[in-house]
Amino acid sequence: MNIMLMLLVVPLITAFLTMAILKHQKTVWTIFLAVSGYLSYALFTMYGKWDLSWSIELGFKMFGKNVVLSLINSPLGWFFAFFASLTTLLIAMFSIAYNDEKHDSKTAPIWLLLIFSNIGIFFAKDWLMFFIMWEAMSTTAYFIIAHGKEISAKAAKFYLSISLIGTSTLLLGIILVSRLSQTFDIGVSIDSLVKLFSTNYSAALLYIGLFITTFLIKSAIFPFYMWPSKAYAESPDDFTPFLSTVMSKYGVYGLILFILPILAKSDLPMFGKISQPAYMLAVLGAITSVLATILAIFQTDMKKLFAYSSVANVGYIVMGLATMSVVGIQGALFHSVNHMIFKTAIFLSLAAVIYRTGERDMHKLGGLVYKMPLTFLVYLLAIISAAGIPPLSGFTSKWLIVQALMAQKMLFVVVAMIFASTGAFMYLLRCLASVFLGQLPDKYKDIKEAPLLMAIPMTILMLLTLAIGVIPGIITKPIDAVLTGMGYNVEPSSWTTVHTALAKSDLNLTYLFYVFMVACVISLIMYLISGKQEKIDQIDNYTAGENPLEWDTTPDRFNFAYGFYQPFKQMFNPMLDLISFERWMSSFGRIVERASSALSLLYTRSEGAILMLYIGIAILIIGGMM
Amino acid sequence: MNSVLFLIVIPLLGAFLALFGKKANRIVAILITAFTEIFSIMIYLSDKLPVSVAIGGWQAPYGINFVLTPLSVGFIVLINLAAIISLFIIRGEKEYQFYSTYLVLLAAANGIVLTGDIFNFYIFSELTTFAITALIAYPRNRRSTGAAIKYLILASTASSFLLIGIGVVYKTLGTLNIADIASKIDLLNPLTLELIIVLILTGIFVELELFPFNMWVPKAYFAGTASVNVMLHGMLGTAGAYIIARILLTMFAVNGSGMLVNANIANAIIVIAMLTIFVSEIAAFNEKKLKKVLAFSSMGQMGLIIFGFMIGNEQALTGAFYMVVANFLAKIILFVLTGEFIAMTGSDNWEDMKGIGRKHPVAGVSFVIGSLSLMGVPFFAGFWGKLAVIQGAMSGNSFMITGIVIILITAVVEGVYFLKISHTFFLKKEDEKEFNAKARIHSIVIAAALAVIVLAIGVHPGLIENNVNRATNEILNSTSNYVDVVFPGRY
Repeated sequence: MNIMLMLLVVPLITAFLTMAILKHQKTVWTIFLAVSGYLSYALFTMYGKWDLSWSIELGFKMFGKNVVLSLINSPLGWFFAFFASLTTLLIAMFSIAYNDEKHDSKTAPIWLLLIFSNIGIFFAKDWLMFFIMWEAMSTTAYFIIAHGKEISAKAAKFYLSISLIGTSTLLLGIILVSRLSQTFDIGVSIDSLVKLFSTNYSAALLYIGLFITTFLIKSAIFPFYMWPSKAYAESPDDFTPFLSTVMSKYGVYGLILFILPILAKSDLPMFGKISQPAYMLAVLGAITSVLATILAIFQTDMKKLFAYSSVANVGYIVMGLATMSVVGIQGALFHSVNHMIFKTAIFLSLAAVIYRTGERDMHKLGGLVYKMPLTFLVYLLAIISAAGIPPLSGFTSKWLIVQALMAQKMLFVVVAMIFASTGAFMYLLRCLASVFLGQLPDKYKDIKEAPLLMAIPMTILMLLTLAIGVIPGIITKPIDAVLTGMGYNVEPSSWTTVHTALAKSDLNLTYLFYVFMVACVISLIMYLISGKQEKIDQIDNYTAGENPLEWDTTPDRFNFAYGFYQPFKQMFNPMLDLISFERWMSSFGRIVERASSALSLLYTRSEGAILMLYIGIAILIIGGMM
Repeated sequence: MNSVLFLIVIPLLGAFLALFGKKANRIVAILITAFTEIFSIMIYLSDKLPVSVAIGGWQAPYGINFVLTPLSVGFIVLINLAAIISLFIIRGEKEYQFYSTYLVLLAAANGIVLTGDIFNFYIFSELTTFAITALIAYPRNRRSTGAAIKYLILASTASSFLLIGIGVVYKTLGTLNIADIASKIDLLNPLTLELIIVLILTGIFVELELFPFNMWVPKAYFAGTASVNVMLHGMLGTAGAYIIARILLTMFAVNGSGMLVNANIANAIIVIAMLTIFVSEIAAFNEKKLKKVLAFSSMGQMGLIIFGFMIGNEQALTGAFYMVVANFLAKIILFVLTGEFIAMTGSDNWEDMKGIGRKHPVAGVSFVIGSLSLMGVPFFAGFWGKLAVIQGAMSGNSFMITGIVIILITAVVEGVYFLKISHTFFLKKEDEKEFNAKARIHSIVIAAALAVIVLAIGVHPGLIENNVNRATNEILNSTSNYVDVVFPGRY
């Protein structure tokens, strides 16, 4: 059987199978793990076989011929699909342990359907296939986010309405573009849009605007940045990493697949060194990452905090893409994978914390480092990577993106990127300090380390981020294939060194790691040869050695996590009030609800029925005379 | 082929018999409907179509004739399928009035579709009006009586318009035969033609549930029991879709090309279709009564179907027929399940229906499939209809593109309320109380079977491609496919 078809059929069949045996949770999640394992393996074997394809002809005519749905193994699609399925595999292992009687979300069958559409999106060769899978992904994701809980259903409704707007614009765009090229093929539609840009600039801009809107919505780029904080926070804890790391990449994938080639090939008005639409995209990415960083700093709920952090990270990726240069795209793709790895690690470690404590508010936790040291370590390394500190992987991709932006002289965007990157420290460390450091509340005295099945994927992620940080070739080699597939001329990248855009800024990350290790060894020696240490009680740290009783206070719990950045918040609040799209959206929702009530009142009252009939006749008569 | 009269005569005879039967009525009704369904399927599958049957040997245009084409017999099959389902889901004992009026409705619905005579069409549509009124009023409470009176007033006002329109046709053209009118339509002067079209359209738009004419719809669906809902939707609504195809696109077509003879009025109808889609989907958004939500959605789908019909190219027509089938199947699923859910919880409000999907996962999933198909999500039958209608509208003028934008905007609203409702069934039940009544297995089986069909058409649209193509072809070349059948050799 065709391997491309198998990739679709296996998750689909197991989805129906697991639906039948939904009561046996552990079996269902084990099957889920097996399917993710199979997909990862199958995708691994597919690397380099760029001629694999599959297609089917349906008995339905459009443009005078039967509709054909087809899949193709392209380097770009493979890149995203493989790393997505690898992430899923690790999450699946976590899910087996997570879904016990208490946390049972019963979402495995729908999740398998989501994986099915995931593969379809990344390998689609024509727009119809792409759209079918895109819409399947949107609706299945709704049911997983809502997962039979009232509060989640509210958040999911918000996600759904925004996501449906996205599918509507996508459908309109697809119909317009395919009418232009008289076929649904994506490659042909790129060419015909390039041609349209030379003849009718504004129409072409409208066409790609429809697609860009869809992709921005899915990746939560400004002005659609607000849905993740609701949807990520309320979805099942083990699904949040998938939502944040894999599903936010669909929009990125769409931009690389369709928008970048068009912008690269068309003759467009320039702004500085790059074209105007691309610059616009970069500015949107910049606004997103700055805004999301500021919002993340103020959250008290840790899942909401990292939801905004995800938004900010996708903002970096979009900035990298918008440079339209090899290094920028390389950085963006690199950061996509990095984001998958470190954000999965962060969300999984937080899920482990929630699994043990049942608490999501950061200020109600604290001191968990004593009880869950491994989880702490995973979280620590993940945030070091997220903050972009060498020798972990996050540094490399951020370095590439900043270099690409500087090379294109996009000053405003560079400033925004550096601001967001620095702001990231504020929220990353806040969560670290509130959840893992500080004092342990009494009620958590007896909690244990995360179970083994949770610990394994977390440890693997930790090692992965270190490995990629030291040997960037693991990621840059496949990226070479992607860039070659996109038509860029690239030299094969080395295992250890990354080549960047500016002169004399190439970095050998393995040497960097050696330097780091030497520094560590020196610190260790200094620690060992330094004078004798005294262990003091934790409370002395807080009271500077004073006895609280002498000052008429009690040695109470000191928790600084609530209102952590109060002055900072007061500084930014006026600005955030001004641009709250969330409020705009909900007031629009209320208007629709009012209109709805008014219209249904029209039908409840009986008086106007005949009058309305005559209005209808009037429409017909007037219409006939026009 | 005179036996085709059985499709009308046997239900009518049954209606008389039902006056005397007591417990046996339900069995008799089921047997009669099963007969008409099997009989119509046999006609559809036989290779004798298309054929015109002159009643009593009086040839058209002087006598009444029945025209059996793939289109009309296909619709008969759908109507009788809905009829049989509506009988199976009747809850509790019904008296003879119910079955008697039901059989009249069946005869009249079959008659509307089969007849080739416009006055005969008027008579059958009057019959459906009275049958439906009686069926809505059957529970004999305040709510149902009010709804029935409202429907009766609107429908009889409309049918007086229809009668005047038919009178004007007879005065000017001297004929009542649809095929005859279709071949002579360009003899009329434009103003007379416009008058006739406006009068007849007013007459049929009330039954078609289009916006300013449809003030009766939500109350009627709300007051009727689940089986009456299925009749209203599956029999009356489907017959309505046929009326558009036959009256608007055949009788009033330019040279049998499937385009309305007066382009201005065609645009006015498109405006009405857009208004219907917009108003109904917005009104459904905040509605708490599940049956009213479905009623509003029925109106919206009808607006979409007529929008597809009025665009006037092959792609859009194909889409409209796909949509007829998808809407027919999906909405029956929803009405059948809604009846069960209301009986189980004892509440009309969908917010009270938590926990049903957890207790009956098959029912819950079928409801989800029905709603996804109505939303036009891929993998379900509704998608292909929506795709083809939008694609067809794209090749129209800028006016049509407004329609597309409205469809896409309302699709968002529709998606939100449908998925919101379907997810409610999977929420945890707040109290531990048992449900008032048990779900009946056969209703769930019917719903699940239809859901499987919806899924099958969605995955493989080629399943009904042939049938849809035959119908589309008949509309697009109605001179050779319809007029020639009635009057061989006229062209």
